[in-house]
Amino acid sequence: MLQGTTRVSRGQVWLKYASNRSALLGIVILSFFIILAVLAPIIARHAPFRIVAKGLQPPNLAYPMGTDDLGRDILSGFLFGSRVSISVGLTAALFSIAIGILVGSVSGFLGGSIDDLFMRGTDFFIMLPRFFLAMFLATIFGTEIYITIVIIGVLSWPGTARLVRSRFLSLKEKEFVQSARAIGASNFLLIFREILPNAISPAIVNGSLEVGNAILLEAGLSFLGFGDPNNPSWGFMLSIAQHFLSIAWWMAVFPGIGIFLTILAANLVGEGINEMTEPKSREWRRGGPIGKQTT
Amino acid sequence: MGRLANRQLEVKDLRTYFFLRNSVLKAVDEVCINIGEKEIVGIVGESGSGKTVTALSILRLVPFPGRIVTGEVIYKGRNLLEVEEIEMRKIRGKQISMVFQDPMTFLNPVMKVGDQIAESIMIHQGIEKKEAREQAMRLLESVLIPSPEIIVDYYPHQLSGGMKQRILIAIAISCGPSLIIADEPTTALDVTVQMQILSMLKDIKNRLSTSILLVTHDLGIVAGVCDRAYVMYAGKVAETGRVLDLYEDPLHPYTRGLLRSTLSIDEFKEELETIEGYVPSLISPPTGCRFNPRCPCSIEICRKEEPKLLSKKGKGVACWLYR
Amino acid sequence: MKALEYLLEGIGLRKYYAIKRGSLRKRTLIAKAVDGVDLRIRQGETFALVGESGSGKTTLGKMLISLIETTEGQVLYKGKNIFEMTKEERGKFRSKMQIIFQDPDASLNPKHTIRKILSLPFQIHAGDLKKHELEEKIIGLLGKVGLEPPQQFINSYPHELSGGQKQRVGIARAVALNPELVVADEPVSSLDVSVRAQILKLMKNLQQEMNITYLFITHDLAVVRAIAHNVATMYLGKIVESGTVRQTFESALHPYTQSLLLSTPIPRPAIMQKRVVPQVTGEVPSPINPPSGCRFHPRCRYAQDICSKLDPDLLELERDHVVACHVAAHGGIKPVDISVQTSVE
Repeated sequence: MLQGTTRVSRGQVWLKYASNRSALLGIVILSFFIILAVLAPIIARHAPFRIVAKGLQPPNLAYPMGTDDLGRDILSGFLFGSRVSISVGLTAALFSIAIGILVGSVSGFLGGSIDDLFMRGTDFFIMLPRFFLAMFLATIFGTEIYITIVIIGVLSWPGTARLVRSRFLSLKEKEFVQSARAIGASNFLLIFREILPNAISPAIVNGSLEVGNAILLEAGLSFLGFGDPNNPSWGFMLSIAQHFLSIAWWMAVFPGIGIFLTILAANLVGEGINEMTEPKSREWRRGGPIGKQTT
Repeated sequence: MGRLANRQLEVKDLRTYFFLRNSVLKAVDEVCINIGEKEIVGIVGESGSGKTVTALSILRLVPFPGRIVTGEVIYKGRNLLEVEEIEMRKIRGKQISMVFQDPMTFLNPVMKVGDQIAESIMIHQGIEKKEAREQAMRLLESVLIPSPEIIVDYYPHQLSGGMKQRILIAIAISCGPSLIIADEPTTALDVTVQMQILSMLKDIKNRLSTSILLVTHDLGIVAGVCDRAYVMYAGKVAETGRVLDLYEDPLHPYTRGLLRSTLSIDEFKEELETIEGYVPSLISPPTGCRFNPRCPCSIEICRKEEPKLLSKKGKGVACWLYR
Repeated sequence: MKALEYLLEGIGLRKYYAIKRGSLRKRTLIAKAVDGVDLRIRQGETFALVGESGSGKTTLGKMLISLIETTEGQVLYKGKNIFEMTKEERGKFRSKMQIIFQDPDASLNPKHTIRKILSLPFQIHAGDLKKHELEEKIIGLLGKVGLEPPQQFINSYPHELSGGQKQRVGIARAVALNPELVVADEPVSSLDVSVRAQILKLMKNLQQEMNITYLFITHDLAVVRAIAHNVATMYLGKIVESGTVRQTFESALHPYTQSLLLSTPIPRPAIMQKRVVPQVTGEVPSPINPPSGCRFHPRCRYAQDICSKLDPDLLELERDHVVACHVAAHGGIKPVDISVQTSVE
């Protein structure tokens, strides 16, 4: 049965991923922060944002990340802030991926006027600067954390939608789809059973990059004062820290590193998934690049 | 082996392997090919036979992760495998040129076809653009393109498959090569156009005294166009000889099986004959003769030792039945 | 009784495509892919549609099984017009008509295992099958098409199989629901020479076992000779000659069919060496602007005045042998003996 290509089992696929060191690093960092976020209530020594000590202390044994101007433990703030930043980032990204895939697949498959309608919609969103639109929507709808998630989600799906749509356009006329149609498959089956599994990898890769974007967008909004004061995130901490940059560097540096590392990790993971699913990573085919003949 | 005096090209013990992540694919394994003057030599084989990689190896165009491991390619007294890349560039397109299967991949879509032919002429012969274009037009005429003065300004997408293939041939003969390597040049074409192109190749051999190495899977094309042929299987040469001999009296069981299982329009076969089994993996080929698992005549030694190619009077066969 | 003699019948079939050209896509040109075709296929036979690029053979095949809409014309299934069927009848008709494609790589979903690929027909039409029953059916199918042992293939992905094996899976999928007609669109063209005979043998056996009718679409006359009972030659959207295989190969009368025969390479050097000459000049013109009168006339060595003015009808020149050619109708075409002749005189 083996004709010069080797059977790649699931285990081998993960090994291949693991062999890409930077991708592995990405997963490690991301997992680290997620664990941190989950265990925050247990690890944190103090309730976040409660005044517990003298203000503006540099990092020391009692307060490893120092205290802010009001005397709140930055480490506790960091831990609880991570929960907000990461959960907002992840949720918004998932939200956008889901909508993006749905819109992209229906639009790409059905074509015609529905496709036109959806594509004009996505063009509209892509055209406008995301950040300012987010601020604008926040002023209208408020800054509660749930609203922020929705806003970010709604602004992020067009990218994924376009990728999925273009894959659908090219796969729609492929013979395996036509075969399924000849067998009597409904449009629903054609979209979700046949085509989507082949169109989803760019969505996943783009999605992991969106995680980074979402976290950054949330941080930016919080930094400019559009954060939720009841659920302070890293960005929120930064917005307070900006006034004390020259005297209390630790107030800005730690949340900043948190944001930086999480986004970096998300990007590395995305690239890792990209390499894993790209055809280059599969074994060289015996037929080679030239010649149509196969046995 | 026949016409020793006037050998155009001699490939000796060529080995080209592909180095994959965990294994080595032996695409071409100790292959010897000779091409004389003014002859059309065919390499015929199925997929996995190594015929295309052999052709690419001659011009050192083997793609990554392939590499020529050992062997010699003697052309005009020099071993091309040891020559500097700069020298190779002077040979490619000028002394040895190549015609590929898919014209679309090898023609620049944003350049007029006349300019593409002229470009080759200018590079290799150092001629001015104006004169190169005139030569290009004469070449278009010689490959029987109608209204060459109009076509010379066309872009590839405006031409049919047959016309594009003629352009490739025009580029190939533009600098008067002594050898043209054609890899499945007509596979993607309609059969009526194929006949026109094959006829043109024969004409080129006769008129321009150019030798042609024709790589194909089609036994009918070899029968019509080639003087001699090599039959390749799983990276090795199974049999070789003059085409008339080869088809009349095939020696190697693979050649026989191939000829018997080829469908032909001039006979109706009640029972369709096949060769049992599949082409083997080139990563771990069978021990001994690579054809032995599928061979109806295999004897014990076939499973143990590889038979070497034995040549006599222009015929060569690599099979233990003939020792 | 006569109407039921034919499993599938096409009457006056036409398929035109509108193509927009021009800088702002203002000009609309019409490509006549299929331009007036009548066709009758009997149950249990293998009917071959032969032609080169632009002939319309694939488009015609897809129209006959309702995979593409017709621009004009009717398709009758066992005498009944398929456009007048109820939705249920139409669905049933579709499930009885299946298709096999040329490119084994593109015809199997690369993300699905062979099991998943072969379970689709049952999922749609026999949804109440239990899991183990479905597994049995799939294993049975794999055995039927020669993929043994089935367990070895059922969990594999298409890229792990050879071209011939992939094509067998395609065939298994097509016969899963016991179809009455299978359209085979160049099923062996991209396979190795030694594998072609294997696949054709399989198709022949399945035909006898399951009483399948084949509509075999190909450009390769050698394959036609090996497997078909009846042949229709197409050129630029029309049928130019139709008859039994024997008639087509031994006494072809249309000049285009003759040039196709003489252009098909055969593994006989003694003849081929002399036959490699252009058997016909020029190339197939575009279906957007077909030549006037008989479409083949600009390339035909027998062409007369009338050929450029009047499009010839298909006339029965021999029993069951129809030809659309003015010169042939007057007995002016000499038959060609492909085993010795090197060109049309």
